[in-house]
Amino acid sequence: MVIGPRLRLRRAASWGLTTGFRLGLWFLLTADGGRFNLMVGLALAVLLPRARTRLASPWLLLQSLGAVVLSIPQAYAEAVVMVVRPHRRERLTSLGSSGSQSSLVVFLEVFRITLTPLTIALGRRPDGSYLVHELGRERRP
Amino acid sequence: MTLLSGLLCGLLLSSGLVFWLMGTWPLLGRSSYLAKLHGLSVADTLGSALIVLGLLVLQPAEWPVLSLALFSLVIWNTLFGYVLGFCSRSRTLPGPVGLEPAP
Repeated sequence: MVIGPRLRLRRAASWGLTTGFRLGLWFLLTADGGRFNLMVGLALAVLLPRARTRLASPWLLLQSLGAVVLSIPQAYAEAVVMVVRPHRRERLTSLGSSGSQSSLVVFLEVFRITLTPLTIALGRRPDGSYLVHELGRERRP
Repeated sequence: MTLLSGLLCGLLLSSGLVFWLMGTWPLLGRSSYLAKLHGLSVADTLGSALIVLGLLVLQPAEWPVLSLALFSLVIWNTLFGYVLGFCSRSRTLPGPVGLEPAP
């Protein structure tokens, strides 16, 4: 089977991301930056089994990660608004998605929607959009 | 601990506590299940994150364990909110809604 450069890039990005994530968790758990600890952590990060999932393009992953980071200040702004003024109007809406089938991208999108207190993702529709429960302010007549 | 870091720590801890109180208060009311979940997101995720950030300013030497706690709190609370919302669809939503579980 011939592997194209795009697939190779996706595999390399996925491998690097998983290994880096595992290594980061290892360092946070052990809080030890010594050489021996680095070797053990690296060996564990490389050797532990990996899930077989659909690979997303690195660009889309970066975009989704950036959207999650940007949603943190938005979440606090919404929380302050919710604390100051009660939001009692509930409605169901749909939010568009990137349409990616990669589980990491779907995770990041669901995380971004649910992190902001005014919206909670309830699932994915067959067309790829997310069903979202949203709180809003009551309209005055 | 300098005056500035003391002030910052106090500000973060107290605002986290305010978020906790304001987010948990609606749980006692009669609002719908999903509306209560929105409130929990304020208290559980954002309030706890502020409290842990305040602790991080208070004890900078413990940053590995505190940042791990911050990371896990934010990820798990948000994901539990999603799981509870997803599992409650059949009881809380009117009529059938075309859904498939997120992969």
